[in-house]
Amino acid sequence: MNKRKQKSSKPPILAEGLIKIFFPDKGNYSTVGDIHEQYNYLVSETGSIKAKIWYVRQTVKSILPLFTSSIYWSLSMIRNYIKFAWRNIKKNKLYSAINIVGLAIGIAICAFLFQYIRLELSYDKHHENAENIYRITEENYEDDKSVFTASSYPPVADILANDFPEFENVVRLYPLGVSITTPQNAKFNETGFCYADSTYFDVFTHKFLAGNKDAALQNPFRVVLTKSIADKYFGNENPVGQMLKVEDGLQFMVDAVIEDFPQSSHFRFDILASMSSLRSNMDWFFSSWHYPPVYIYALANSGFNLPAFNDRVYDFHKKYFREGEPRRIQAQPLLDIHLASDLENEIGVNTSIEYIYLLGGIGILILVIACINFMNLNTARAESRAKEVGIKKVVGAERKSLMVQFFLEAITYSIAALFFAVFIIEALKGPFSEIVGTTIQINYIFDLYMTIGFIAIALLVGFASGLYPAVYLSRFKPTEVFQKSLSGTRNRTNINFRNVLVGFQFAVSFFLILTTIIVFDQVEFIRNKNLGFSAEQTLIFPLKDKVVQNKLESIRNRILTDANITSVTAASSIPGIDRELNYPFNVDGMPFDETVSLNTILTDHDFLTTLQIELISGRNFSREITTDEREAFIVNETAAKQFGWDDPINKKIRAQRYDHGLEKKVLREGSVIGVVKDFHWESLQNEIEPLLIQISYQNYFYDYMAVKFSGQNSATAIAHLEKIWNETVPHRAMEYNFLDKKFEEMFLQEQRLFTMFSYSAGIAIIVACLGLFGLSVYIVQKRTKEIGIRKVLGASSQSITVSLIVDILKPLVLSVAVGLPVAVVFTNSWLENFAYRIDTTMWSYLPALLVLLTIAVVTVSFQAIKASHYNPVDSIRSE
Amino acid sequence: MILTRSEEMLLLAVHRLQHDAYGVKIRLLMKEFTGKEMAFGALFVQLDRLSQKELLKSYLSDPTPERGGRSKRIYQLTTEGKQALIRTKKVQDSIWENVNGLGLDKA
Repeated sequence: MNKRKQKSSKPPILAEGLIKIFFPDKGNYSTVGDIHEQYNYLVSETGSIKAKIWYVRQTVKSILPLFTSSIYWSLSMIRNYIKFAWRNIKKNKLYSAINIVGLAIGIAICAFLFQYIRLELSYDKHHENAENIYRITEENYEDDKSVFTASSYPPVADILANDFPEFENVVRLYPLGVSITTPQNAKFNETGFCYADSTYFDVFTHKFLAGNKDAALQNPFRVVLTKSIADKYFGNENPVGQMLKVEDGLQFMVDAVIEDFPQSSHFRFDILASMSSLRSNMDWFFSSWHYPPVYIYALANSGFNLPAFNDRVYDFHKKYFREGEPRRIQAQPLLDIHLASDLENEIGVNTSIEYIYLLGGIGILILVIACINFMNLNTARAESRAKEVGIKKVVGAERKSLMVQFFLEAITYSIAALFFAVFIIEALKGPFSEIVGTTIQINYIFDLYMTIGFIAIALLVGFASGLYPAVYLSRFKPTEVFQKSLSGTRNRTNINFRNVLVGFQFAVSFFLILTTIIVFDQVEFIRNKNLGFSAEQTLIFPLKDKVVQNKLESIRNRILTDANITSVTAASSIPGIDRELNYPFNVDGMPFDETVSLNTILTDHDFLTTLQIELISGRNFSREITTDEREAFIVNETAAKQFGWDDPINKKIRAQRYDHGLEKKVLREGSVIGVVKDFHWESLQNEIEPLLIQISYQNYFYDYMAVKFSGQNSATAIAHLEKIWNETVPHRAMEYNFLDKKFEEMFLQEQRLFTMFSYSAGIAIIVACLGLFGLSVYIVQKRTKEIGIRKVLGASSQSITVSLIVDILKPLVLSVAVGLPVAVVFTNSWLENFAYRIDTTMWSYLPALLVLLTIAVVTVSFQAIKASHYNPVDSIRSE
Repeated sequence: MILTRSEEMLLLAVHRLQHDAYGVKIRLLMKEFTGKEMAFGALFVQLDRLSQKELLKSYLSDPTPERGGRSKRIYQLTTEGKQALIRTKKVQDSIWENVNGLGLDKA
């Protein structure tokens, strides 16, 4: 028969398929035929496109009434299924508890991750023009390496605004910790203070709670406060129009109050001050190409094209940078910053996308482990349920309806687990927030995404874990089921499949345990590694303004009168607190016109003594030798090695810099007087770099003061220091840090990784053991009779226990075989990040193996020992 | 048993179409009656329900090429269906008897 009439085009496949599903008509498809006929008529009348649209609309319209009617008819059936599911849950309380608790843990973990990943992905999206905002970053390159910094310098912004019409608005941010005095004379140190251009609110979006957006920051000496700061300063008073004293005397008027910066902003400030305020006392700022670093953001028009800009910017380099000056500027999309940016001098802490992947991966693994429990326990119970299936089939159930029943049963479990999950989430909120480093809030009811997410997880988990039982159990044939209990080949493959699943669960657990141990070892290693200097009993004071810096001498002299204080030093930076300065130098052994960029600290005579850095040759700076002030350098071992100096003492070093006039200028010339042992400047991820230590003859460079005290009582030392501080520099409240604590903070990332792995390893193993426990209960139950017979024939309790344990734990061999290589590869690639790391050997993996085996054996032995002590009389009789 | 308006119209449509009473034609006639297009889905649900109430019966015709090789399901009134129609008509007539003042004559 000629089935299809030529030109008649085919109806949309998807729509046709849907219609077939909803109008099965016992396979005759007479209804599909009706629609088809009308469709062909429309094709010839109006053309195939209109007809297709008609077909699709018809499908959509038709499904709705059919769907409601089918629900009506199947509702009673569903009620029946749920009743069955509920009876099953009640009948097997142990299995149900294991399943539900396991699934609940999995769901709770997923909920956390869902929320966390959502937060991470939402960074900076709250700005209206987020997609068109770019950050201007700078690259400084040398022969073999480039240093990318997140910040640039003040004049760049003006030039971009003038020369590049594609930028509608450019804004500079100049964060600067200050001390603030309120009209009530309360004094606060504010780290979240930032100068911003008047264009700030044109680029970024903020909600104004008081004051006017258009007027904000337009005039010098104005500030905009966030809500929490406004509350802190003014309480219930109206903050707008109030005056604040910044540092030693500048008066700023409050323009407006905005909402606090959201958690999902990659920079967060408390106070924004108008940039134009700097004109009065820091006018050089606006034309300084080298200092201080500022963050520049530009709002581009919609036609902006990043690659084209990066090409055009060459003109900019040519025009404004001296020829050969090794720097470039680049634009970086705002939305890339939080997830992908890892430059020097970032404005805040960013996440790496790998961290998110890692977290997500672990969450999914735990959920999979929980689903496997469900599948395993269900298939293990297959025999007892086989009879149920058989009888249902005899009475007339179709395979399809049995599958629906099993799926619904699984979903009933997962919905029960969902409710449990809520409790778990509440219990784990704290630790989880600690792991990810931000507070995770979960709103169960009013957050649409969360609700949908929860329901989706429940359905998905129900479906995934019900899949295997549904397919497998519904296949039983009544004749076979009743003839004898399931045995023979099919059952053996079933056991194998189960073993593979258990093996997989423990492979994941093994991987997590092993990784936890390696991460722990490494964290301990870097914490205990000798840093090369002493960070204990050392207080660090930031010296933030000129007034303090100029009073340094008198502060120092007064501090030293205290017997508890052993030594004081001031320096441009302190290890673990701030980066070294970096200047071009010319050293002995190099042609005169070449320079190399080196890290350096400008300090006073007491730097080495205060931080207890070991001198290996030469001498320390001395106050007796006046030339030391301008003509002496102390280098570290690495520097000596890098310059190829066998005897570094008296080697010449020249500090060179390009002046504002772009002339090369020798700032200082001197020789090496001593070599210090290498000491770590920052986290042990980085290798020690060459370092020059020199005396500063200007107070201007002293950004920090370090004070070493003796005795255990830091409180008295601090009280004493505070008294001196307040008497000497009353305009600024004292700030201090313990150096050793600051160093601890540098390991925060590693610490977090360790916490994350230890928690997830713990959870994974709990869930996996739940499954193993359930399985062992079942296996022991099934073999009761066998054990009885063995005992009658003379087997001892011990031998039975051992054989049971060995039998149940066989799949663990597989786990180790799979988990070990994966963990080894993973941990080794993680360790590569560290310049200083532990060596991994066979022995570092052994503890993980022992932990896993112990936990598994303990889990199984309860049941095994119990079973081996059954009285054969009871066990053989039992049916 | 009294039929609802849409049931009545459907049964009448089937009756009128006689041996041509299958989905497409019924739908067309319903459109003529009411001026509104019915979704196929809604139509089939109604026809199904009438069949369940045994007011309609149906048989499959031979497959035809213009339907992609599918049969037509042709509907017919059962005896109960016919009786139900007659009863409904009688009830309606008695309701409408002697109704004045609606402006029926002018329309």
